[in-house]
Amino acid sequence: MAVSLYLPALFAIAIVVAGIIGIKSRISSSIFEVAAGVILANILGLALAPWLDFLGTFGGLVLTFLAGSEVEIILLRKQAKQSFGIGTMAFVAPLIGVIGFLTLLTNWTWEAKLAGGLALTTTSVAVVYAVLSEYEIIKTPTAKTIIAVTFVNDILTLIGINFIQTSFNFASVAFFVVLLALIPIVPRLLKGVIRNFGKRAVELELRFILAILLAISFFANVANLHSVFGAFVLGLIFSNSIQEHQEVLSKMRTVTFTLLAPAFFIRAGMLIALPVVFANIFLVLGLLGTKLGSKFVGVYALCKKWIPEAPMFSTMLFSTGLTVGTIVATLGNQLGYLSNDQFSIIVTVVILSAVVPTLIAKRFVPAKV
Amino acid sequence: MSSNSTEGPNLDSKAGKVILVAVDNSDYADLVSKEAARLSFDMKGDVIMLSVLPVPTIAPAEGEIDEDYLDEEEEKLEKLHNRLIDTYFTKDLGLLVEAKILHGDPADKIVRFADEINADLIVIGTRGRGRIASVLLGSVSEKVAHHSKRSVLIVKNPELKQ
Repeated sequence: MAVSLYLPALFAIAIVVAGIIGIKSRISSSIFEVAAGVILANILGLALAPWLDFLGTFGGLVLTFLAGSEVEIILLRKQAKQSFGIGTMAFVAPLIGVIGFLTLLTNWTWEAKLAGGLALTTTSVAVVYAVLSEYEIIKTPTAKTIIAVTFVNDILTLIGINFIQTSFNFASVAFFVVLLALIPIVPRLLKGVIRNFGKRAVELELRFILAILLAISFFANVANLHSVFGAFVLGLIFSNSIQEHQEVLSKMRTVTFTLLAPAFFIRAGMLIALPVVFANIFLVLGLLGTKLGSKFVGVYALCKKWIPEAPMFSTMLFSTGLTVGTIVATLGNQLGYLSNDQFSIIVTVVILSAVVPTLIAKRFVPAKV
Repeated sequence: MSSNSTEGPNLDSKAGKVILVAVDNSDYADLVSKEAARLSFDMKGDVIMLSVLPVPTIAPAEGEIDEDYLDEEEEKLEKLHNRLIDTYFTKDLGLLVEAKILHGDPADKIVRFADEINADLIVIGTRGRGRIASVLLGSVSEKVAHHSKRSVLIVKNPELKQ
């Protein structure tokens, strides 16, 4: 049977157009990729094909790996008190707020509320980097504190997803033992692979990273944990060593943002049912308000204490979210805890939280840091 | 004299004209620098060479932008600045030549920075796109010329078809 290239061709054209619009508007192409997915499914009536489902899932794993690999352990150690203090509240406050809001206004199951709540606890490290660099304050101590907080927030969210479905077993313990064993081994392995086989057309160092990523993600699933949790922890383990090999990170970005990340965001867009979003617009806005409000309640006072030069600016940055939020919502959907309607609502809120708090934060950029 | 920094330029000793030279990693950076060097020599003006690293200002995805990415891209621009300054400005002894890297929307940043340093002239290149391509893809030079209160010299490549 001949393979139909209709959807792949549409997909390829859509990600080119999304990329161009993204570059021109200075808004990330990921937003337009989600929009492309919405159009493909809602207007053209296309169904999610198995190959796109796989590519998107793989994209989610690689993006989670990248989120883990950008964590700077040394920075976290230096800023431990502030980052863990604010980061914990930036995670806990919206989790309680969103679950409370959904309990009051909906009849969602506990697992759906937990998955939705976790998806809305995130802070987007990339959004934070973009805003800090746009205002030329990325190298300041204030920026370092803000970035460290976002790392903690991400780590707690990725730990939290394991509690959506709690059934740890012997394999779970074995998984953690293997991860601990990998901490000293992985940097040496990567160095060895690069030294002996790297910088060739076959890109063996990339194959090595992708192989270990898929293997660990698979093992995490077997261990009744979640594949994205495995990908994130592996990213954390790789973080120091991969940051020493800029060319590898650069190649990872090329692979990710050429194909895998667009697949992830288009897949997410294709699962959004526009009529559901419109029918639940007040719920969507209410959840966005709850995320922003509870983040404010949870972290503003701490920001005033530890980031006195930019409390509102940092509070708003800690209210942003996109990739990790979408990944958590996708996981909730794949596990069957978030229905397609609930997924549509949560992902819409996640996308809005990538835009609205960023725009508010830009009104509170500190004059002096 | 040349320096390269992502911090603010030192123009306290500014006495003459200030020329802002906007370049990126494209082919016409040399053409722009050559023209700016000639002008700075004629005007006895100090030169600030500026590059803007484009970053999405709204909602980038994880890994799309981080410290390593910024460092990597800044390093490329620093190398470009050093090469252009060494190639075109070393003969102009006595002129202050500084380099600067900013992040965000290039046209917006160039316009704002020109105001900040009170530039007398902005020198910028154009890819020489046709009218349709300019509308579709945008033109930084056109935006700068349109939005800046400063004089703007748009350097064209005569070999490119308009």
